[in-house]
Amino acid sequence: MIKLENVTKEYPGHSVALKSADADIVKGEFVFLVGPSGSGKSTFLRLVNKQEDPDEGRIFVAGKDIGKLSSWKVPMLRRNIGSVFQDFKLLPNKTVAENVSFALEVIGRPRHVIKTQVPAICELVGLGDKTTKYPEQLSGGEQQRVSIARAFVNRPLILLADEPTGNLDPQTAIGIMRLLDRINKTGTTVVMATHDRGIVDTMRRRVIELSHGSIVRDEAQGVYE
Amino acid sequence: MALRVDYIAKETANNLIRNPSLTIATVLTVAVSLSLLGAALLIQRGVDGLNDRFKDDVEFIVWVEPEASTDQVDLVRRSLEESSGVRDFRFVDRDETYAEFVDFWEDSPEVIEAVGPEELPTSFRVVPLVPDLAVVQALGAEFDGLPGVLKIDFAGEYIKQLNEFTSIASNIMLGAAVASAVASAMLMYNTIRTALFARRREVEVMRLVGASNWFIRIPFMLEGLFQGLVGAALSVLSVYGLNRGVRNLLNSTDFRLLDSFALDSTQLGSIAVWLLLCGAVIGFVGSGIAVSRYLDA
Ligand SMILES: Nc1ncnc2c1ncn2[C@@H]1O[C@H](COP(=O)(O)OP(=O)(O)O)[C@@H](O)[C@H]1O
Ligand SMILES: [Mg+2]
Repeated sequence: MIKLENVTKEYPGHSVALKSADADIVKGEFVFLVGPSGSGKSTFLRLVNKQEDPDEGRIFVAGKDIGKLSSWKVPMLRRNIGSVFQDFKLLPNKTVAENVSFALEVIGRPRHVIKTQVPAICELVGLGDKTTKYPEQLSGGEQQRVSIARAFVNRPLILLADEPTGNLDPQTAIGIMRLLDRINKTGTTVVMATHDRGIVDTMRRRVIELSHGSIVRDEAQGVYE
Repeated sequence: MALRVDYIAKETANNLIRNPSLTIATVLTVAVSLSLLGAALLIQRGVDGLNDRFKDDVEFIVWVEPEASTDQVDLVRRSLEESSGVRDFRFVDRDETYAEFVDFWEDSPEVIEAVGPEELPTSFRVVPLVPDLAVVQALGAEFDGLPGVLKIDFAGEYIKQLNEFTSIASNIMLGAAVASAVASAMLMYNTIRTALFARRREVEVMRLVGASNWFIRIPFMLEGLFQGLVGAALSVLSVYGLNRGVRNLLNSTDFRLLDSFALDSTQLGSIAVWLLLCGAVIGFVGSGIAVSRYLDA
């Protein structure tokens, strides 16, 4: 589903963010990207949905070399990849339901699809009774659920999560992990960057460890270390 | 993918009212710069009309005194025939002069009544070989001293001076119009950039969830287009007003020479089309550059 071949990414004026990385993530996997801050986790994720382009190497998503994708097709790629962030990126002037339907509206999904999908997904993430609330009226955990609902409402093949529990207390984080696990069980490939040791050690999923931009460990059912 | 018209209309309207002072400033700048352009075009059309009217006209006129004898007239005729600087000339006799006179003063019967044909000077309308003002003036002076000659009129001189003056004026205005059009495109660029900045969260989310580039762009481009067109519409109004003012001024005098400076509705219509086109271009270019620079970064 996601394949990196000898991928190197350097930001101008900075040291190398990702060095000759190789990885092969198959459909339906749940993968943790771990490593200290600055080790290249976010860069890895941004390369997958083409927010950045590699300086060297090739990246395949669903079998396609995304380096060869013309710029007008990038949106099509992103429709198959949901993204979740530490800071939620919710629109403060829109309600829960509006935030979620926004993701469908702007890709031109028909109104009747939006009308059925949005309440269903809000129910799925456990916010069925809060659809008319604004983000500021929600707890951090609830806001992250909205952002997951928005990322998942279009049923993407891949869900990228960049430290989704980074701003949450451990109890709330567990709830978010359960939700991501459920999404993964629907067949969606999940790649999650984190440096939350507890979560990685409890879940026992595949772990790819980055250090100064290099992949130093790739282990099935690994721990944080 | 179906473009959702209601969504785009809503977003464009939101952008326009989000920052009303900037919207108004942009519209007014476009209006001012296009009004300058319109005024320059008005003058240029006026000059074109003037030149059309006088293009085939004589370059100078040798007026002969009403009391001049036949011999004197013949002498002038022979001098003209022998002159190497004259390409062609035509004698306008008393009847023709009177017909022209009546035609010219048709709005003022009291003038026509006061003057009889015998009081009018006849004239030679001379086309010189070289249509250069200095050469023509030198040539004309040769006939000035001949007996029976009343005076020499350089029809072309007046037109030429007017031409020079108006072309300078319209070039200055055109320059100012181009400069302020550039300024208004730059203001447009900044306005749209501000709109993009105000909506950076939405734009970021749109890009992440895979909204197409055009879907993101169109509301901002339409905002620019709308502002450009409203500015242009205001400038069309001011050009119509200016033209009406010129027409009233010309009608209040008996000076028919400059009539071509009051344009008819076809000419005005074509200027209006140009101004609207320029407004659209300013809006599209300014917003297009802003959107491209922001989204392709
Ligand atoms: N947009 C950027 N411009 C320049 N340097 C960057 C940028 N993003 C990340 N970096 C650098 O690249 C390296 C890896 O960053 P990142 O991928 O964000 O790591 P992580 O997510 O693991 O903290 C860091 O040294 C960081 O400073
Ligand atoms: Mg990061």
